[in-house]
Amino acid sequence: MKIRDGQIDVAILAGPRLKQWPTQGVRVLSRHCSDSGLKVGWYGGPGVRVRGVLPLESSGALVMVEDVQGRLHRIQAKSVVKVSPDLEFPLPFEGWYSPGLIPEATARKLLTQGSLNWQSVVVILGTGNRALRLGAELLESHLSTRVVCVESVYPEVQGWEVDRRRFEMRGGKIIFGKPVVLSQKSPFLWSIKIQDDHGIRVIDVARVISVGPFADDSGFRESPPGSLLVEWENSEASQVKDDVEKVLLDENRAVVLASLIIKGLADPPSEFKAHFERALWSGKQRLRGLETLPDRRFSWAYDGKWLSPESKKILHEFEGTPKALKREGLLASIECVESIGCKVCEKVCPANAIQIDREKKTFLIEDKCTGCGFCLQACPSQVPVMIEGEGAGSYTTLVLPYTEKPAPKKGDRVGLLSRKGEVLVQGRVLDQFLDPYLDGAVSLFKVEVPSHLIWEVRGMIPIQGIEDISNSEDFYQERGTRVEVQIHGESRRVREGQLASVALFEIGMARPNDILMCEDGSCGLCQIQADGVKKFACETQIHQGMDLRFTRDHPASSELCPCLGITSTQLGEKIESVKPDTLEALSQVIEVGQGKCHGMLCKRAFLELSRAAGVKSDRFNDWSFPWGDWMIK
Amino acid sequence: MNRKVDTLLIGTGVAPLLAAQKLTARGETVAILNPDPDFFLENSELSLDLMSFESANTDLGRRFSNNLPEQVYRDLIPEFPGALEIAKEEDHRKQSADYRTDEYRVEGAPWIRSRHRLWVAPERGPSRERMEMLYLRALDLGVKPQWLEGVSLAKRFPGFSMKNIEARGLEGWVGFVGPRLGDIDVSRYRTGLLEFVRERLGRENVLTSVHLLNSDQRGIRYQRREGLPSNLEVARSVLYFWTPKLERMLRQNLEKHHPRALRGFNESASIQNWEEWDLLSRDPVNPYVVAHLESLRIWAHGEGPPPAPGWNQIKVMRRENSERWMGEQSFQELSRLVFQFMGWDRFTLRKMTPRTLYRWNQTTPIEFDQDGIRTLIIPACDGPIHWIASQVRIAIEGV
Repeated sequence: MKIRDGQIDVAILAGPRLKQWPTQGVRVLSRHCSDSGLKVGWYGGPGVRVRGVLPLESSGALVMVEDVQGRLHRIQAKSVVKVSPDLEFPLPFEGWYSPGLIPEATARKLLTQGSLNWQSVVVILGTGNRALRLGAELLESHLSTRVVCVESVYPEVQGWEVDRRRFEMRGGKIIFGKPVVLSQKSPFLWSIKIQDDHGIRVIDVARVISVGPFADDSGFRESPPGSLLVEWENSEASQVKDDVEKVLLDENRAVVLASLIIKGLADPPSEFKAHFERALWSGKQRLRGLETLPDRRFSWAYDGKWLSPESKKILHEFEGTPKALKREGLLASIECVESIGCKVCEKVCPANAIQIDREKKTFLIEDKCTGCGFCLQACPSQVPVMIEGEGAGSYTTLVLPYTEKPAPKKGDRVGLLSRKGEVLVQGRVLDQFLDPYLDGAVSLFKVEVPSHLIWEVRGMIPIQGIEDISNSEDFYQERGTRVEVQIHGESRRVREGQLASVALFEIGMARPNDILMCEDGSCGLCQIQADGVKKFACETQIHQGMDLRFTRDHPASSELCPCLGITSTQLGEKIESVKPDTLEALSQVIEVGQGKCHGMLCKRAFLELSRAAGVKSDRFNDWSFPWGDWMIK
Repeated sequence: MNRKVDTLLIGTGVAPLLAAQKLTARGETVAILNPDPDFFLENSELSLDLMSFESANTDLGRRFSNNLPEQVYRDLIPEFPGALEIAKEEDHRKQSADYRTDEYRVEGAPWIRSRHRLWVAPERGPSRERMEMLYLRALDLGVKPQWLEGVSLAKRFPGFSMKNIEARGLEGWVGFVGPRLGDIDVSRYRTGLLEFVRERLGRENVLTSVHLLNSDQRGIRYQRREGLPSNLEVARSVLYFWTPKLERMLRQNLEKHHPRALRGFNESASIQNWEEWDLLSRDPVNPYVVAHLESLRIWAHGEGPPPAPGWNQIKVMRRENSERWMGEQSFQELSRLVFQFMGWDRFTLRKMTPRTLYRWNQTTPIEFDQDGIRTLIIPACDGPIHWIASQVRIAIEGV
């Protein structure tokens, strides 16, 4: 086996299960490092698999990379940044490790590639922005008629008020409580018990999706201190608007991390130093703004259906709402009162009418607003609306963003919704408002609204019943044709070309081992026998006449580490008996995370449980080599 | 407020814990300072003797007798507060499935395993000559080595598979089965000992993440990672336990206080680098053999009671002559071991850990005066833990 040797200053590595490469944070980090004269390399993406990192006693680390031809490269790097995906699982409870509970990435893959039954209730664990957005998307697409977000860790909702508003407006519910049992009732129906202040709720669900957050976002962790070996959890969003707050955090953390690396390794030219110091300062400022949101949370107050006088006052005084409406022509109203760091609307506004500086109290510059609607299309939380001619008569025109399908047509009667999703009154669709330069993912509708409700109405809902599109013929046809395969000698019809792991979910035969769907086989869990050859279900495509066999005895598990069968109680007992000071020490006496999946399922819970038991784990990075199962032929 | 102890122990692994046990049994007050964040980060402690012979003059008889399971037990039990269990192949065979339940055994205790040593070398080559010499010396010692060749030899190898056996050229290999030697669960032993020492000395006397600042006639000044500098008065002596992790600190100390000893030390100790690979096999692995194949040591990895059938994790220690970890040579040797010798068609790498050990020529403690405090450096606190235990015992008896 030939090994090629190389040397580099900064190696930025895609950790296992990372789908998007390079991430936005990686781009910013590498740009800053290379601008200061450092030799930077990215390792990841299609065909390039990073096998692991071996920290060296002296300094830096050895990085082992396997290229598309299976050749090994051994790269000596002075600094290593391991970029990991943001994978969230809750603390273990009875039945958590089962196909009934899937992480967000798997859910999104099933939503785009599969034709799974999501009716009628979906429970999402976590109330962060991603959880609320996923819930809103499920409701908007009518794949699910009820979505419940469960907050089990924090005393309040973790997402932004604007995302909560969008979710609740679509009919989503938020409850506080801890999941205690997840059990299967039929191949497509699960039952989850949630313990809250009033007792235990039992909800029959199509699926439970784990999104989080279940712990505070720690940013990047350098371990050992001063080694310039860093692990960094990044957003995998391909567009900023898909995960705006995390991408913003990543971008600004990249600047701070770059400064750490540059200080340790480089001597940047003097003309660059001033530029770099400025970038670092503003990065730190923005980080502070993004990270201290919990102190400045905001929510609207209501008197029955209507906004309370205090909330109305806040709304009218807020700089994002127009103060003098035009008699003719549209004007944006961006009611983003909570002090969040998102500036997507500012970036897309072609007229430069949005200039957000919350300290200087500037937001919308009404004179410049042309009513183009770009901000409505771009906002990830669908907050902005456009208002026309307040007080012109008994009816006023409001432009609302709307993504649900089927969309109402011109002249249709629609229910007009308040910010918390209650129907206030009926209105009429005047027109569909679309800009030819935009992709049309978010349709804008001109709606006729009673003038006195112009500050109350912020959404709409068709009055006629929504047909269940998941039962329609088109729903399956657009996703390919079905072919016959043999599963343990039993004939089944699944769609050709789809991944075996997706197919197993569709026909209700998924195993707990299929829930990660890592695409690159990095967890090594979902092994199947396809036509007599051992493969991973997440990498194997279905074809006509395929013979699939797999181990079926994977019961739902309540264990902390299902690979090795270690329970949370055993972990607690071990901590109690050994009293380790650090997580490194604890890892030496208990094998949590050393099983087949190399900690992908249990690492986060292991960290949280250990931290709760008083073990120092803030700076823990697991540099054990390799990162995932590595099969050599 | 200054604290006062009779003896101060400074070290990273199991050695200061063993010393603390001995000294407190004598009635001395003791404190342990560990520069590491914990006692579990010392990676130079081994469960078995890797039997890496550097010269033909090695006292083989003594080496074998020091590693007999009974001797390992005798070395480790005096300072250990609980039970040590012994697992032998014949016990396992006799009692098979009922082994765990048919008599009183402490499953959570550290287990000493009794495994045959199997030396293997290609028929042609310098390593065969060395192995033959070893065989003859073993014959002379009366340990009844059994010479084997070809398939009958390979069948004794842990992880051996019968797949494609004709094409693997096994007839080109020779070797012998040597005596049965002992090994122990390092992690369990260390955990049990630490738990007891902490309880006995109190947590305030077993400190980790310690940065030593300076010393004077009154004692040692140190600072923990999160805390203010503190003083510890030492009435009798300070003992350092030499492991690779403490090398830099001890060298600086010796350079300052006893440069002549440093020169002596440079001649008496040399560094050995080992790569520790964990592999997974689909074939069952014989857990009662430790194989020596040139620079490799191979055995079924495990901890605790004897493994259930179907045990398939294997540990490979590979001697690395330079510091080129995971180089071409490593993969070539692993591939030859797995594909050619054991006959697997693929292998899964589970883990790789670099380990740095010393090879000691001289193990006498170095004594000197450090700012008026009697100071001793105990060498050879790395390697198999039963060896560390006996080394520490001898050193403490001389203090």
